[in-house]
Formats: sequence, C-alpha cells, structure tokens
Amino acid sequence: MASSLRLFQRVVKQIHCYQRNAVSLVCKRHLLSEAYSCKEAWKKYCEDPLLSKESPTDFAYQIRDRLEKSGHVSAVDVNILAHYFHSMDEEEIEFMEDILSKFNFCQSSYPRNDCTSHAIAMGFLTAGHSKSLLNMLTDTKNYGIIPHHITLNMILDWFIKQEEYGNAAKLAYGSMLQEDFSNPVNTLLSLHATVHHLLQSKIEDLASPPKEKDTGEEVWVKVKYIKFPYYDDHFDIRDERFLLGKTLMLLADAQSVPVPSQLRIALKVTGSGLFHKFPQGLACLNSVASSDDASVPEVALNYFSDCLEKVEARDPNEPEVELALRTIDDVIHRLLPTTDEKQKYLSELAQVKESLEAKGKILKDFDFKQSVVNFVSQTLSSYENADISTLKSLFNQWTEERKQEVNREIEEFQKNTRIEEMKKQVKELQEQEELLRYFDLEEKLRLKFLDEDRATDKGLTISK
Amino acid sequence: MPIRYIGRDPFFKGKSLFEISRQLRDFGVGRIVYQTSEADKWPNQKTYYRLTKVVPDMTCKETFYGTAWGQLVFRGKEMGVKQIDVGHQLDWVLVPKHEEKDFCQTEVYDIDINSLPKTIPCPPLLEMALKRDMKASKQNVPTKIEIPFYAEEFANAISRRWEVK
Repeated sequence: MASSLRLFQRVVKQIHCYQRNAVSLVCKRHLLSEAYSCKEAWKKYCEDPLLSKESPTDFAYQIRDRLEKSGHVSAVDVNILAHYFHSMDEEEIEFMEDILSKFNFCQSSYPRNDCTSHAIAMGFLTAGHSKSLLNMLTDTKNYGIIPHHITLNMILDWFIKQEEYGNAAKLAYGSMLQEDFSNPVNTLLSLHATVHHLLQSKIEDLASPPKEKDTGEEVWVKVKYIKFPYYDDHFDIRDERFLLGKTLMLLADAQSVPVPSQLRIALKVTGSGLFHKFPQGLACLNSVASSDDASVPEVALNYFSDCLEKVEARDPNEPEVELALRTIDDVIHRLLPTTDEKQKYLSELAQVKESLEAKGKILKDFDFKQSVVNFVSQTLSSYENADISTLKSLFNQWTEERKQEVNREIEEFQKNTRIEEMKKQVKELQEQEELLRYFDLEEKLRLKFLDEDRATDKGLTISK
Repeated sequence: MPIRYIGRDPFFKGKSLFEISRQLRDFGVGRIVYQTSEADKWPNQKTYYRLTKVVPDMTCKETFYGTAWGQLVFRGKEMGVKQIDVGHQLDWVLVPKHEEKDFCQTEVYDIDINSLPKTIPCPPLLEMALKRDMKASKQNVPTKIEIPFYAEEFANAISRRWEVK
C-alpha cells in the first residue's frame, strides 16, 4: 500500500514537472537549437543494459552505506546511479547531494569523469532541481563537479531559457575561474548571460554587504603556526561585482569567437570598472582615444565612471592590521585605491573623457543588450554542429569506457572471490592434515597453539 | 568577536598546490604554478612548474596532500619533468593564463659561473715537500702550487638535484 502511494506521488510530481517544462518550452526563448541536446542519442545511450537497475533507490542506499562504512565506492557505481537522478523525488535531493559530496572525498573520484557530471546535470535538470544543481556546480571544493563544455552549455541554455540570468551568470563565473573560454558556444552563452545579468541588476545590489567591525573581547586561539591570510584575487573572490567584472574582462579577450571591436571595448571598460582594475580601464580608454578608428560606447563609460566614483577609498596612512588578527577582508581592504590614487584616476578619467568627446569617439546610440543579442544569435548556430558531433562521439566513448570499467571490476571481484575460496580450501586441508597426522605433528601443534595464545595474551606464563 | 591567533609567524604566503589544482579542470594539468618563497629569492630568474600530472589525495579534506609532476624551470633554465615534493606547503600561486607568456620571459641563471673550483691552493706542508722534491729533481719550482680539487660528493649532489635532462 505504502509503495503504491509513493509511486502515485512520484507520477503526480513527474506530471507537474513535465507540465512546467512544457509551459516554459512554449513561451520562453531558446538560444541553442533542439538538436544541440541530442535527445534521441541520449535516449539511446540511456538504453545501455548496464544502466538498467530494478530498484535505483536501493542501489543508492547501498552506495551510501558503503561510503559511510568504508569511505570508498567504485566510480562506475556512482556513474550508473547518476543516470537515475532524473527520477528522484523532492525528498531524495539532499540524499543524492550527500552521496555526491561524500564521493568527492573518495579516492575513486580521481580522475573526474565527464560522463558522470553530464548524467548528474541532465538528471537534475529533467527532475526540475536546477537550483540544487547550480549550488553543486558553484561549490567545487565540496562537490568537485566540473562538467564538460557541452554540458555547461546545456545548463546555461536552460537558465537563459528560464530568463534566470543571475543563475546563468554564476555558471559563466565558473568558466571564468577556469579561465577557459575556448569553446565558442560556451563563450557566446556566457556573454549573453553576463551582459543580461549586468543590465538587469543594480550594481549596489551585487556588492557584498559591508562587514561590521568586531569590537568585542578578543578570542585567543592557540595554533602551531599562524596561517597567512592569502587572497589570490581569483578563486577567493566573493563579491559578485568582481566576479562579473572579471568575467566580462576575460570575455573581451576571448579568442574563440570574433567579438566586434566596439563590444570588446565595452566589455573591457565595464569589466575593469566592476572589478576595480581602474588603471587597466584607463589604459584601454587612452588607447581608444589615441587610435584612429576605435570608439567607446557611452554606456560602458558610464559604468566605469560610476564604479570609480562610488569606490570606497582607503586612508593611505591607515596602519596594517597585525598578522595575528588579520583576515581575508583586511587583505581585500588593502587592495582598495587610496584617496590620492582615487583622485588621480578621477582626474585621468576626466581628461580622457574630454579627449574622447573632442574626437567624437563616444558612441551614444550603442545598445549593449541588442548588440550582444544580435552577435550571439548570428554566430551561435555556426558553432553548434561541431559540438553536436562531439557529443554524439562522447556518448559512444562513455558507453565503451563504462563497459570496460565494469568488466575490469567484475574480473577484479572474481579474482578476489577465487583467492578467498582458495584460502578457505587451504585452511580446510590444513585442518584435515592435523587430524590425520596428529601424533606425528603433536609437538609442532602444541607450539603453534602456544604461539597463538601468546599472541592474544602477552603476559601469559606457562608452568611445566 | 575578533580572533587572535597565538603561534609562530608563517613561513609561506600562498595556498597548497592541491587546493589550487582541485579547483581546476583536469586538476590543472598544463597550468603554470610557482612558489612564493622561490620568487622572493630570485625575482628576475623565475622558478616555476608547468604541471604535467597531478594525483591529489582525494580523501584529504584539507586538500593538502597528493603527488604532482611538472616541467621544472629553475631560475630560467629548463630542468625536465620533476616530481613535486612540497605540494603540501601553503606556498603555491597559480599564474593566470593570460599572464603566462609574460611570466615565462625570464633571465636565465648560468649555473656554470658559480660551479665548484677545479683547483685549490696547496696546503703549506705539502707545498714545502713538493717544492723540495722538485728542487731535488732539478725542475722549475713555481712560486705557488695549486692542487686539483676533488669534490665528487658535492658535485654529485648538485648534479642529482639540478641535472638537465
């Protein structure tokens, strides 16, 4: 009765999920074509007999138990489990996330498998748990999921389709952290997502809330060595303005797609403003002013000057926080421009603005959003076919690899069981020999038992 | 409440190699990493690794341990693929991809300039004995005698460490 009720609930949820997707498909905008996701090839790939389990939930519990008991589970088992994520319930998400997190700290998760991450992404998206998927993808330290470019493109397209540009931009930040805009489709979708996110949101909202200074009594913590609070200005970035700015700057330098020069300049200037890399932005503006044909869009210039005017300047004579109390926030604070530097940048900006205006190099009618949409929609389709053929070949490769891995594991298992059996047989033979030749081996056996007793009890004394 | 750490000052200013590599696709193979301590010692002669293989200890939650190999450039000189033994030290920095080209432009340290001397001054007693023998055999007696310096142990130790493959 309980199982049938659960089945009914699952069916109802699936219907709701499909309805939601169906509605979104009808009314929302697609950037990638339907053919990009290779649905038929994916369906065929999922028909692999190795991926047919009667009870995936029991299989998941087995994997969780193994992870908890031994801390080790085979990568191919997690790979097979990932192909069932599309049918999981709302209550099972946390459970599956827990499995994936534990698996990340298991040695068999090395090397990372693109097939598993693709299956995870497809499963979570089909089940309608895109938020959970995004959380896992952005938390690389705990989940270690770095999907293939094509998988990333599908997820990006999903969020763009739902008009969740903020979430899509978070995926683009991931590509920025990898400094990898080598895939043209990924570059174009990231560009689309980040620019839409920038134009939709207020810059003040993107900034992290200011931290209040701790004024209470100090807590003393004894350590062997004080850890130097190192800030790498890349993986440690928490402020979304910086993440967005750095992504725009890297997109401006992307070589995989021919970004128009005006758009490139707009991205670079806006990005450097958001990322608080004012010298770089001013250098870019100066190069535009000194060039013959380049021009800068007014909107980008406004973003840059806004960021520069609003940036918090620090006092140059401010003493550095002592090492024992220093945190990452103090290090980030030291990276802010000083009051003198800010004044210098502002005066430089005013000069360069004047020279740009005098030369008529400020584009007033530049539509940032429209130029990105036009560029992306015009160029995207030309890069799709290469990815589609790559994905199809990857499906075959993944099937083959899984088959080989399963066969290897079966062989290993059979070998281990055979060794166990042989050990058992040897023991039985030894026991039989002891029975048959007891009087010949009496002395030897006594010594053996004595050794065994001594091994268990070291303080054993035997009297004559 | 502010936390005050009581302990010795840190030696290193960076992250562990495996903390960096675990956040990268393919565990950072092909990327350039360097140690801040080496960069402080020789700022113009770069010492860095281009990672060729990284096997992190995935069970280590602090992401300190593992094994890595990389193409070593020691003070600007190519040294071949070497195993990195100090990946656990919080001393590593990742070079951004767009800065790699500029970063790799470096002065090359000429190891031969500072190589071990081939000869050393003769000890006084031995010098006297040698001069006496030379005089007896009617040879030209030099004012200063140099004897060959055999430092196989040091030379081998240096060549083992900095051997060019």
